[in-house]
Amino acid sequence: MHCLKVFLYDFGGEIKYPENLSFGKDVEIIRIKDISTEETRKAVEKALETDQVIFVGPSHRISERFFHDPNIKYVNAREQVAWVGHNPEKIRDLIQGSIDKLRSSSKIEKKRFPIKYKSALVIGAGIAGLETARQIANSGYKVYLIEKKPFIGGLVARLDRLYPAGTPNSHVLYPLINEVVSNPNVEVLVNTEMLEADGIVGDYTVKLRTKGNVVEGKLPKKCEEVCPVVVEDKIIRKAIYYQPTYPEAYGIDFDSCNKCGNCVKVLPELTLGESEKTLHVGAIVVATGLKGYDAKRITEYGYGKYPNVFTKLEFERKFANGFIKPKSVVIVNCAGSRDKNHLPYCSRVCCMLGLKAAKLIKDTAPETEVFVNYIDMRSYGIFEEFYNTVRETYGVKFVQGRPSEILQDAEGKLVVRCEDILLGKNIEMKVDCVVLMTGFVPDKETFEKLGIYSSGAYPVEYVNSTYSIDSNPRGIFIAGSAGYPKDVAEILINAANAPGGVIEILSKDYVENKTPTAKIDSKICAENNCRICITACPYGAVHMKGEEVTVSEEVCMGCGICTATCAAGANQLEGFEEKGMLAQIGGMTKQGDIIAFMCKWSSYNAADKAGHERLTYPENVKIIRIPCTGRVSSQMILKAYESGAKAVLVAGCPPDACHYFTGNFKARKRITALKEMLKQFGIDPATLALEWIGKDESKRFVDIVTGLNGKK
Amino acid sequence: MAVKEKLKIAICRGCTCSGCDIAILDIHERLLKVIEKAEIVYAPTIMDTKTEAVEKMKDREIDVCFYHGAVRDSDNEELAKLLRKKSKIMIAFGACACFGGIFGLANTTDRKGIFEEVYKNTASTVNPEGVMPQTKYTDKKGQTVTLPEIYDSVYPLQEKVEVDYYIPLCPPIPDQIMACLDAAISGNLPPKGTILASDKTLCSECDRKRNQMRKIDKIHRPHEIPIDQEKCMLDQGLLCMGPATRAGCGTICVKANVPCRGCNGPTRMEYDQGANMLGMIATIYGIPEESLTDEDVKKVMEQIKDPLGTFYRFTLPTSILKRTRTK
Repeated sequence: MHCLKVFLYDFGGEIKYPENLSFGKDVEIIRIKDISTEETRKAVEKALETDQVIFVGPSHRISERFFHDPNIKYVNAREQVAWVGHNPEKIRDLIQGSIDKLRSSSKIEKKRFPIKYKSALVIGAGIAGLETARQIANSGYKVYLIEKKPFIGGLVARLDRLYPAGTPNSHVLYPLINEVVSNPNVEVLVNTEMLEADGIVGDYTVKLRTKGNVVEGKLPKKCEEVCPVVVEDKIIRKAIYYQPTYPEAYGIDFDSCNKCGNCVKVLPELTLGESEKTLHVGAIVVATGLKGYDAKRITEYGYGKYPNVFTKLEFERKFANGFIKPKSVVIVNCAGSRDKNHLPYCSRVCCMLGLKAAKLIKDTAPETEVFVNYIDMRSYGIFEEFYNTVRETYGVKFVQGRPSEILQDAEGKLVVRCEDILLGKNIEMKVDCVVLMTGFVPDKETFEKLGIYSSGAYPVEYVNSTYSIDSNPRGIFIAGSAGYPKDVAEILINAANAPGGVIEILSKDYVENKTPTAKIDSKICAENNCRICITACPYGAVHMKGEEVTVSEEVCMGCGICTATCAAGANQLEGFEEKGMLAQIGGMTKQGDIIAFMCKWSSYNAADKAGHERLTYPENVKIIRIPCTGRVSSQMILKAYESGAKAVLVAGCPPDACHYFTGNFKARKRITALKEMLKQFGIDPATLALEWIGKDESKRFVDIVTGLNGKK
Repeated sequence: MAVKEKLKIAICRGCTCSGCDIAILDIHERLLKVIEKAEIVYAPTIMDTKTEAVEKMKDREIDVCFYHGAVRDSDNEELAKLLRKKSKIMIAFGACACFGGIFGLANTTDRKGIFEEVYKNTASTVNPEGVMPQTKYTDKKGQTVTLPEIYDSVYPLQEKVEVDYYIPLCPPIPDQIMACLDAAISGNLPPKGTILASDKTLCSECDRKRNQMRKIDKIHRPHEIPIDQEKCMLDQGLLCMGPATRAGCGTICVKANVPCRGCNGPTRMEYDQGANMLGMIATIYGIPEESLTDEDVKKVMEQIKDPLGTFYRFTLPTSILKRTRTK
């Protein structure tokens, strides 16, 4: 059996401890004078080398500031005993529970991830990828910048101008490209895709596939002339073409190329074959940008059926390049967006893209009649001025209402039917051309390959806990519009975040994990398995590796939802193993107690606050701090009853505000189910309560436990 | 060289349906091989031996005792203690001995409750004087007869005597029995306390296809729907105990298109098979859960007609609460 050291801190006499405190000969009690001294820190660290450690004093919130080892078990004797006026004898039970828990728990090993490769892979060489690559490379690290298309520059390179001012994109793009491609730390690979990625922060193995090759500096126009494949890429071009970004060469669009070999006859250095390559990098940035929603799916708007119905990019390219000269145009904002049949969300930038298109038309051909159909104009922040300018100065007409259908009349004119909500009547607009401001969809394929969790369409970048300060170190970042639609200025600002994270990692020799993670016992959960914990994980951290279920130490946030889900006990969260939790409950519970499982993010802090406010509540309420109510298993609740508890409270974050997205909802389902079974055990289900208690709701906490105490 | 003595085997019965006796006979012709090396010295169901004969044996004279059935009355307990004393190795044989088994469901009531039901309340009972079984009765002539005392709770074997090995399942399967007998004959025994079954979960032995997204929208009882032979039972809304149950049976029930009922008991890291299964079912019900109200969840749980009986069918006496609280 391990030796155990219990440090008692009395907070300048504020915490009274029971007399004759003793827990057997294997448990040593050490009284300390001050939590904050170097001497205390060293004593605790030294004890941790050989023994298990319990620190009794103020709340975890305070104690965790001084000690950083997850193996320390804290007992909150200040906020939850002394300050609420409870008998010091209660501390004895709380310490006993902690001793029993530690004795039944395994040690949490600190995990270090060495940064083996001081290099980064940036996927996508659009404006976000370029800016990311620039900053990482300028900090002295090798960057592999890969682009699926034959040229870098992404969507911005294929646009004409940027809103709100209508600045041609060359202002932003050209200097950026030159700085990136001339940096010796950057290796640009075009026509290149990531096939698969494996590994962990500091040590990723990435497999790439490159189609064709780049013959730089040779631009025989004849290559293009001999190509028989004509491609309509918003404008008409060949399968081999030139785009004034980078590389300075002819590039082949392999999606259209029929491999006739005519161009190779002109330029024999060209190859049409493909090659694979394996890279090792320490970090990965996803800057894959966005794709437009397929306008053909909005059948009532006739895209693909009527030649003069365009999508936003098509229109901009065709109009700016002088292929079309309409006399009248309807711009349809929110085409397919905020619509549960298509894209349920708002793509955020389309309103401004609509304004930009209206301005482009009026700038170039002021006599053109322009209408904008909108549901709500979302010209947030400084863009309100842009909206006003387009409406007032340029005389663009705004019609509130979503068109119900677009038809073509006998003369080839387009008829846009809609209800003008402000006039309250149905109207028809006859125009030459319609532009659909369709929304954006993310490049899901890359997210899936990298195991990036997405809730709905876009990846979850930052909601409560994802990528927050308590996340475990992760070497995969998202930059630019890959995360959600942004405008160019926002992309450039946002893209500066990813390199910050990458550089922080690459500049270290190793990173340490912050949060203990769930572990799967492969002796119980073998090759073929139920996989239910995979469905339960809010982050996609639990996943299949080959035939085995495994937990990504990078992605796991330590909520324990999967642990409470696993029916076989194969999945255990470090520091909150079932065996330890049951031992703690058994060790601290006395007949007639109320055991309160409280989540460390919300409700536990409310209980602490009751202490700060010197409120009081029944002494028999004993609190167990848990990461999430989603970690509370039915076994733990039954154990509390078995050990003598007369009531059990499970308290977590308010609905929708769970730190781990759905832990509290899962707790609700489990507890509702358990209540039904408790009846059969002859236990009044009203003694089992599930409550949402926010961090400020100390008074509600007191009311709830007082109410539970009144139950027989 | 002296002829090596045959291994002495006893098959002892507690509160049992005797299916375990039959399970031993189900090793069929392999029994002939066993009795070349072993001799059955006590097995009341299949041969004429008396308990008195065991009492006369020396302590630890029997090499291996297979005790099947739960302990629910004083007779079971006495016999278990006697056999324990006379045997070198005591094996809890079958789900009842290991966990209390089906009989363990009697822990939802107590002796009084059972007697009331059986001797008074059932439709076919006529007992106007309310005569109840007594442990002791002396007639007018002064002759005394006794009956064993029925306990309020059903116990697994290990609550009453020390157990060396466990063979769960209801009943154990022939291969498992042979493996155990072979080990006993060869003397090549695993560490004491071992459960002679797989460490893995039943799902690891099951080759049914599972959905990527594990969820249940509606719970069915097996007779209510045509059961797809290829698909995971849970994905069809059937309460298959596989994820909460130890492997080792070869999924015989599931292969017969019947959901697992959990007779092989929990894994070594599971402390309460029923609670775990209930928690898991509740977790995967109706994902995404944000849209569910308390009422919705309650409605699902109401679809499970008897959660305690379903999830603790074989393990109530070894569960955390062990029994229903009675007044």
